Amino acid sequence: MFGVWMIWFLLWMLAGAWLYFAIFQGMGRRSISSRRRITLIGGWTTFSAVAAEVTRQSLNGYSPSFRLCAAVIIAFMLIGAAAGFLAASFINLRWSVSQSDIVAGIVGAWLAGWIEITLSYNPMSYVLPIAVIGAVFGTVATRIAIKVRCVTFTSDSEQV
Amino acid sequence: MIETISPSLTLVENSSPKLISSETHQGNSVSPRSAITKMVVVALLLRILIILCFHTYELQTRVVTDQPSGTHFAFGFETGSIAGSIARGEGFSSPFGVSTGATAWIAPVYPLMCAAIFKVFGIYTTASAIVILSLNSIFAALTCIPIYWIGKYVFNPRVATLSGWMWAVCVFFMRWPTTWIWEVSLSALLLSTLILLTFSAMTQEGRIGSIKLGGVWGLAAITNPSLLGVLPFSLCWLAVQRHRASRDWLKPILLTVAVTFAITTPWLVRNWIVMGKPLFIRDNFGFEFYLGNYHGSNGLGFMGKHPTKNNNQLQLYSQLGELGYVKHFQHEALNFVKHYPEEFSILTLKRIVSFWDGGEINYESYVYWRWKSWKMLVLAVPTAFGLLLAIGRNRNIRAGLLGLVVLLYPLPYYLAYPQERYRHAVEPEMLIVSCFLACALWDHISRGVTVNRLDESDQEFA
Repeated sequence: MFGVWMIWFLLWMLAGAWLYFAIFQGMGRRSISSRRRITLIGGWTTFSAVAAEVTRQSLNGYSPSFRLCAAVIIAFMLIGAAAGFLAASFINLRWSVSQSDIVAGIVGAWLAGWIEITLSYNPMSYVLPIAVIGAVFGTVATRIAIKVRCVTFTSDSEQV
Repeated sequence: MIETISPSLTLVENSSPKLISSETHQGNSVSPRSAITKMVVVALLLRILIILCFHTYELQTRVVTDQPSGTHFAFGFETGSIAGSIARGEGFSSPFGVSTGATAWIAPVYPLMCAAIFKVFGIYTTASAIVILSLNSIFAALTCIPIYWIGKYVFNPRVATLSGWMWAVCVFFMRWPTTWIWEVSLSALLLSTLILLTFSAMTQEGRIGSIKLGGVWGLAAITNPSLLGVLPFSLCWLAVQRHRASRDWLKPILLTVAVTFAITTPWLVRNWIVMGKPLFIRDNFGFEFYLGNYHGSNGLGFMGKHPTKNNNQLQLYSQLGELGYVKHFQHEALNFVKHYPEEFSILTLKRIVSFWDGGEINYESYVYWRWKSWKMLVLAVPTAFGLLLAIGRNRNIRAGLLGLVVLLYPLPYYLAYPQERYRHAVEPEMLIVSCFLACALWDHISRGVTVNRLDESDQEFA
């Protein structure tokens, strides 16, 4: 069944890459900023993984309805966006965020929620807080990875 | 390179913890030594208080009648059973409460300690239980010392003090030393001491540092072999740091490994002679691996298949002998991995998640001092953020070693099965990183408040 998962995952990834080139060629843009590229690739990878997992679950006999999957994905998207916005505002110490913060929050919430639903032995009540934590972690990690200029957050409590 | 760790204190990069220990806080009358002494005393008193107020020793001395492993098995489980055999003069044997012959089921140091206490205070007596739990509490209290110095060396005195006091007074960290007769607290003390000695060995010339490090690694190996999972990575980290500082790295590493091996050798020789074949420190990994890995398993180690709970298993153990029994189940487990690789992969992923989010607690039988799984997240989440900030953002190389230890120590448990007590060995390091995050957040918020106030005063002035 892992093989099925991997096949679906690769298919979704390839479809994403094809869409990516098609859209940007259609728009007449040859280049895209590295920050946006990272968030796009991260977002599409997570989406592909979720899609592959849903396919695997369906083939195993447990088939969540399309509405349920869509509702969960949209709910995580909203939670992730809100958590990413708040995390970035906290880091900036003002109500200003970048697009990548929101996308990173969404990806973080999707990933953490997906792991908690599929791999954890905790009750479902844990999924929401874990998704929020994942969103905040995703935002902070993305800021560190793509070196978004923060106002502070380099603490005196660090010696190096 | 000179680096500032606080406005009042500077230190040369790669200076050893010993050098730092000679420093005192300017403008602060409390010396580190005095602060640490207070932490240790308070930590010990609080733990002793819990043992005596809540009568936790009664959990050990209760008589068990519904299990095949004898009436006193609640007293330290396999450890207590082996210690009882040693105290009765039967040697290191009989791990399951009934006479089954020589064993290498667990590592020798802690059962030998318990056996010495049994000799003085009696086998399975209340006095022995109180003394052993108090000894655990001493190990836990002494852990404040490496916690403080690691916190100071990796971050700064504020993080060090906060971490030390949190370890001393937080009830969360008092469960295992006060309720569980096992090497859990000693493992936490040994691992944090090893990290401190590794930092120290980064800069030390001569053989003393390597001998000390190897000595403690050897003691750790014959106390809890799971700690050895960290050994190759921490030595590689040490070698890289010494190489980068243009110091000799090969000889110290080889010396450390040699001393570690020298200390473990007598036990390996004993195993060879007594058990009849060369074994590593303990021989039961194959069986523990099976408990978490069979077709249809939830990956969390089903105790119903354990000789302590299942009379048929105990009879099979007696019939096959320890080596035959472990070999049989190791073969079963490896067959499972071979025939169901996908199931094994998913179980391993579930165990990794369970180790950190505490999910396995939902499957544990209620004994006492029950935790909810969210309590495991209370320390795991700030640790993840603290490591991200320290390593990712601030490129703190020393925090890198803490990250390595925290992430790689549970490797055997990812493969076999996780339990909440297994995490205690790395909780000092998790606490230090969490306290760093707390200090960083506090600085961030207070700096923001200051900036906002300046903005307001500027507006008033305008």
